[in-house]
Amino acid sequence: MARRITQVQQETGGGGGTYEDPYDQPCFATWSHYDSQQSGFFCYTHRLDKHSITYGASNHYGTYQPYSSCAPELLQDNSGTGYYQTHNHVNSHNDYPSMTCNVGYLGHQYMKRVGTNSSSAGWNLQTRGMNYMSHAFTAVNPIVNETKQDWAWFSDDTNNGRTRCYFTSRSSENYRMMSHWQGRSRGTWVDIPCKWSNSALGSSCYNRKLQKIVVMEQNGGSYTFRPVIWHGVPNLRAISLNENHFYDKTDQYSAYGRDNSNLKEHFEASNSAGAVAFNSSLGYTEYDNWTGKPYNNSYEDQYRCAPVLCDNGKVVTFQMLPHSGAWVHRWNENGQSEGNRRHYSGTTSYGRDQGQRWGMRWQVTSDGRYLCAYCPYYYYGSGWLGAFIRVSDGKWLWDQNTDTSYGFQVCPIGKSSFLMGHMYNTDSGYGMYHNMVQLDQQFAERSDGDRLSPNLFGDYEHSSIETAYHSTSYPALIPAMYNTHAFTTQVEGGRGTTEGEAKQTEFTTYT
Amino acid sequence: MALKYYLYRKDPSCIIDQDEEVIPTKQHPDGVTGDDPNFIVIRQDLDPAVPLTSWKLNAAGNAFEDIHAGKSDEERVALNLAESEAILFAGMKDDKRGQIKAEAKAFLEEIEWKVERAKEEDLLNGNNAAMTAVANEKKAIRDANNAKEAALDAIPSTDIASMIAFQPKEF
Repeated sequence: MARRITQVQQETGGGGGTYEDPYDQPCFATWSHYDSQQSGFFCYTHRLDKHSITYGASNHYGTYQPYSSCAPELLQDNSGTGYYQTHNHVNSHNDYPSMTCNVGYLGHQYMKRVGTNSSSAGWNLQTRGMNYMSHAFTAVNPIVNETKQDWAWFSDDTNNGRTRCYFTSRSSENYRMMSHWQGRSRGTWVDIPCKWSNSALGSSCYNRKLQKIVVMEQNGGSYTFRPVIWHGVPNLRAISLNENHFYDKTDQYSAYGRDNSNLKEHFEASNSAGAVAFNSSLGYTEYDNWTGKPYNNSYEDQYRCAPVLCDNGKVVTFQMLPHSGAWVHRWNENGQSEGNRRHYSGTTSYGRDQGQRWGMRWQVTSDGRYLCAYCPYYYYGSGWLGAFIRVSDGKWLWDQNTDTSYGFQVCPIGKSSFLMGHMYNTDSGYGMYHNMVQLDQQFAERSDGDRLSPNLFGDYEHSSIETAYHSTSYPALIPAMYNTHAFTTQVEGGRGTTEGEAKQTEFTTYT
Repeated sequence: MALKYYLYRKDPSCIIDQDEEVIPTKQHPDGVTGDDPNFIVIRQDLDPAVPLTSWKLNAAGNAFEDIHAGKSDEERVALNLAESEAILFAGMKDDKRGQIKAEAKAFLEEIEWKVERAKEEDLLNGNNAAMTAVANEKKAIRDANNAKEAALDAIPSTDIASMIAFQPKEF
């Protein structure tokens, strides 16, 4: 049976309203599959209780049938293929579901995600669908200081005049519909003028609390990036979830032009206002070019990076460097380059240059206060290199694993934590190996630029997260969709992220 | 260069962590039998110009050796990829054999209803012609299974591209 978010009328206390148990929501599902034998999804809550299952085999062991003509067609088309199969670990291969780069803000690029009200633990895509969804994973722009993480924005091309941004729900499929089928003429997109050079892919960041975005511009593929901060940005969530960038305009008989949306008019007004100081509410601020890039390779590090616009004006970027690992760069609050903060040494690895299924990904904690950007270490999906960035001040920590055989899949858990799935063999009753990091504690106890300690890879928990297949299996982790806002509204005493709230207090109601 | 601690996994072999601080030994996941024998912590001064993927445990099991010593960077990458692909090849071969068998099993199950019909037809006709036909149909599936497995076995172990392209369900 499906579990539902627990919601009861609050009868005591100062705030009234209802109580929702944020930890009772789905956090992630595991996936295992081997040919005609057992397959399926087991979903767990944020306290690692069981949420729901979808489980079966060819034509027995339950009602979920992943193989033969007994199976629905999407499953049958791919059952036993490298996209589904968890009988082998990633190594240098480029398909298996346990690849590090398969998970991101949008979930798992091969699988259907669990939602808060889902009654089953997941579902599959056909191979074509998997590849369609991957496009969104490489184009999605970071969002920070946002407690309502039910929307997403995307940038998916390079252009010497504008950065085209699409706004929709947190869905790779909705984005695909908009960008692929509607984008050339319709869809909720807006063009932000380039102020220095060319646009990049998925390389902008919206800070909800600041009401600013940073748009990273790159110099036509010559490996240099520069942040441009745009001030006083309207509520992008509202535009995304109203599914219409004219949503706040008056209905009229005559047609609006694409440039007549309030959002577009805001960027035009900002463009006209020109270069201004960081604390302005209209206009833009250009930072310095980055410096100290340790290696140049190809598309991935020509056109992509994950920036975080921090509350104090610092900007921190993480970028995968195919064949050379990754690096972290930071700008100070005055827009000056602080240079290379860390070069994660690497070996043979591939990013988007080899296809949209590979490369750097990012995820954000439920409260929006920490962003984790990461990429594989070895070939397409083995090992893990990543940075954790605190949005309030740009302090950052790192972690890594130079494994050449296994993938590692991360997802947010709880209020401000991440769970790392170690995609080792689940056989002999160990289930999915995993570890967690509580970032408030880590950032309090470690200095800027330190490694996590304890790190996410030295030790692990096991024998409590079940996966579907009996015997050898290297599972996948599928991050769930849930009400992230509940972790802010329903947890007393945390640090606030909403505009104007320095610190969250008991029974505070956020809107 | 400086001494560093490295955490090495023997199977599948690779250095999975490195640190200037002491790396603790890896506990066996069963929690009762002490250190996991599949892992070892080595403290050594490794040449940073040599990629981590070239360092393997020596025969004595107490230090790293550069198994690609004397090779160019390109040769190191090629050798490492070949090692990786050998593991992949074996795994894929196992998977695809499983898929061949699963497909044959599914075909056989799909015609199982014909057995009951054939028995009744033979009873009415006073012969075994219908059962013979069903038996021949099942034999053809098993023969196709065997032929497919033979084709799988015929792929040279160095030909990872053919192994990836091999379609186990098409028979």
